[in-house]
Amino acid sequence: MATTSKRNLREEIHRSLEDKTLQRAITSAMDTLFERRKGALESIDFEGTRREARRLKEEALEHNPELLEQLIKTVEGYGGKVFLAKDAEAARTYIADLAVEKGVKTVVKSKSMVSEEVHLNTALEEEGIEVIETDLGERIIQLAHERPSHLIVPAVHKTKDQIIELFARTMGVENPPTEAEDLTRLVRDDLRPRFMKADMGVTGANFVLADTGTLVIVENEGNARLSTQLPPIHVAITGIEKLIPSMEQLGTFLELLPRSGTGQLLTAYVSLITGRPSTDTIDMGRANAGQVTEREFHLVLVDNGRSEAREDPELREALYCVRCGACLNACAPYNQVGGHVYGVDPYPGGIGCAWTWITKGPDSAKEINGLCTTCSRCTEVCPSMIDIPWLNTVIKQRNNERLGMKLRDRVFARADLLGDVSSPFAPLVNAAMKTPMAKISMGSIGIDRTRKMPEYVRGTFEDWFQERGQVTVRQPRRSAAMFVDCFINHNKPYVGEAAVQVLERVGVKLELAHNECCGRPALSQGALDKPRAWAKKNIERLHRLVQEDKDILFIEPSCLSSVRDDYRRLLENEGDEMLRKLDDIEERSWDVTEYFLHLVKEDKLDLHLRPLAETFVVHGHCHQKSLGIGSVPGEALRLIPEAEVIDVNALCCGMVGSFGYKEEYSELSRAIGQRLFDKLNAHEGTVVASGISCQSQIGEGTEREPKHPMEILIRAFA
Amino acid sequence: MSTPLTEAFAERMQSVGGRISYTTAEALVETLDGLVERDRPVLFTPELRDLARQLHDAGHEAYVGTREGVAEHSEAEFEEVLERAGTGVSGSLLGISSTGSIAVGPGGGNGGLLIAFPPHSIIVLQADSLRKNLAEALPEIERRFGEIGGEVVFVSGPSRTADIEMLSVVGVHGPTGLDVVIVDGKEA
Repeated sequence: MATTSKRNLREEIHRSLEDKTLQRAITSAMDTLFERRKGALESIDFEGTRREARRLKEEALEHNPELLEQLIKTVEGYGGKVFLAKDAEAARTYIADLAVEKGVKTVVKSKSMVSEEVHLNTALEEEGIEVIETDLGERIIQLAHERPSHLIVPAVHKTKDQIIELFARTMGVENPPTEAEDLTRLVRDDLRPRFMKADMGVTGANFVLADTGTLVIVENEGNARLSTQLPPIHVAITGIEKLIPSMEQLGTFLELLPRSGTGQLLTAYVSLITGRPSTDTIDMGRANAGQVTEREFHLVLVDNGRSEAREDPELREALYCVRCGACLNACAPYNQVGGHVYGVDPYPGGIGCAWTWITKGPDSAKEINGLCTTCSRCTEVCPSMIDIPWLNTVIKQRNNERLGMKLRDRVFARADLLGDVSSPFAPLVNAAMKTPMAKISMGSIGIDRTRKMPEYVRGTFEDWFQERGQVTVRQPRRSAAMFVDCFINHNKPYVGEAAVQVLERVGVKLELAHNECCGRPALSQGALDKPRAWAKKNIERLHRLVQEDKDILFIEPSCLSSVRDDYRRLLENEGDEMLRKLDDIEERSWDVTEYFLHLVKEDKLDLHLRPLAETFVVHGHCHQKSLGIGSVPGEALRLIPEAEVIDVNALCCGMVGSFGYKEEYSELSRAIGQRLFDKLNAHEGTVVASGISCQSQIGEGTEREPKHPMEILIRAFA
Repeated sequence: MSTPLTEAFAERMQSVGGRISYTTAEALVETLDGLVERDRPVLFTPELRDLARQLHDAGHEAYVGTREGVAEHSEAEFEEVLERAGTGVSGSLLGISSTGSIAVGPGGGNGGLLIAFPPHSIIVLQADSLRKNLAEALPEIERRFGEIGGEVVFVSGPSRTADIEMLSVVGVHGPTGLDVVIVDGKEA
């Protein structure tokens, strides 16, 4: 239920993390879904298909008003009734009134998130009508008086043992069976007679074809089949954004939805229902027999904020969601705490935050907004290519505007400034940051005081580069400029130094880009103005370099991800010329390790690397993965003779910039990290991580000292 | 007649728990006779009226579920027959090889119940109606929408769930068993 009272999110996160049963249930389910999805996608061109899906969704939403008009005409033409519900109350009132008017005593429902969104069950129950959820997961949730915690597996947070106990308590079964198969049978047998006597069936619809008025319902259990076939009244409730023009567009979505959701090529049943031919109803002893003699069909199309979101250039893309849940399965915080922490009214996760904003308003979305770390893993898997981290950044910015930005977040937003101020007094600042006074101040503004703050060094990377003067590169084959990362510059200049030395050995003539901060630290706090200004400056600067035929190299994958992904969003309204320049820059932008590997392959370089008979345990950076270069660090290290390279497959380190430093999330951050630490600690050797915040998190969690791939490579060149 | 399309279809259908039989048009009744649940009503979709009659003649309690929602060959009430039915037999519009699916157009009315309500479902598929993928199948379905009577269901295996600890269970609200009979396939 929606709560307007202030929640103690930190406490709720803590409780979820302490609940070992919940942890076990979610972790294993998410891993299973993630793997099944990967397997199912092998048979299609995922990137090509989702680009097409995105285009189709954009087009359909663009023409939504016309499609709505066409659909209403078609459905009414074949004798169905259409109700356009402007908000949740209108939707639930229409259906409740209809049920009362038709003498309905029992309603069977198949899974519908929109019905959860409008709190349909409550409205029906208030009229004394019995509502039976028939999807197994939804039925479990209903019996437990809970809310669904996942878009497609609503009871994913429950273990089998808990379900056995629940059935014993609520279904009057003395010794419930213990196998999943028998538990399923128990529910089937319990629900069969209810299906037969139900007076109304309520379903959702995954897609609605505007030209033929066809509902497309994707399901596995057969309950949507029975809910639409047995009762004399079928009510379908869905959002207005589910309209697509015709069957022509459907194929693309059917290729993606089941694969992304459950990892199936197609679900057991995909029903395409058009119209309700006026047939006799089947009388199995239902309450409203005789009252409804001709089958009835009602289509309730819910707006509830969607039209407004359609007009909103930033939030609009949330409406492309097909509710497959793949983003949840990829989300590190969701994997750790499950859905309920998100308030689930009813949409969880990062996408849920946007949907909560759209359907319930800013206040409801505020609480869960910070749970998105903007790591971008969801964008890799979304079949509609929704930039969920961006949606959360925008919402953060709007909340900052409405409610003011926290002092702490303002501090985190200015990584550039902190570095500039601190570096000259590095020893002093480092010592000061460890004093009890500093810890108290940190705590008072909401920074976890047990966290070690990154230490500053006196000589920056930029100083080092300038001071060493002119360097002659033997056989120069490329010219490139280094994009200087705030943290490498002020905290870990030796990483930059290693990168410069490695690249010079393979014939790259380097200079510094003299850039502004990429903007990510500020974007993560929902501050958009500064990053926008920096982005413009950086684009001018980097574009000049590109015109001089220079490549642009990024040591920190997060900076590269900002320039490639976020700048486009930030500068959408700055005119075509700016975006053209950005295109040019993107074409010449590289992650340093990716660039190194590219040169070695492209120019068939014989490196004569020194053997390093060591083990390297590699953690992939989230932004490297989202940029499609996740395998690059491991590949580069495998060029070293005798090196043993192990890629650990973990979600995320959990730090993600400032996320792990915030007091309300630091426990969650550490819990996410723990899964990575365990995987890393299973191997001896040197831990390798490309991200500076990944390095801090891993350093703290494993007491090992992670290295950037460039730091290893330079040793092999020595 | 075994083709790459039938083989790929059969493999995918079997991987989700569907059983495959191959037969010829002449031997179809005999094949069905061996597959249907004994001693319980068998319900056919209207386009398989002839098969229903032949199975009825062979001693089965066979009915046709029609648009009007009543059963032929008997004074029996549709509701009563449906509740007792062991097997629903349905024809199909086409099969999709790449996903292992069959498009069933249950002839409008209450025909759609026959593939979902009885515990055992049999779908008859003509081998030459197999299409490579959804992209080939959907335009054809669209063209035939009018004659189909408004409802098409893509069936890919018996009903299933994984709502309890992601454990795969076959047989939820729909059938527990699905037999696909490929007509004019190999092993005739």
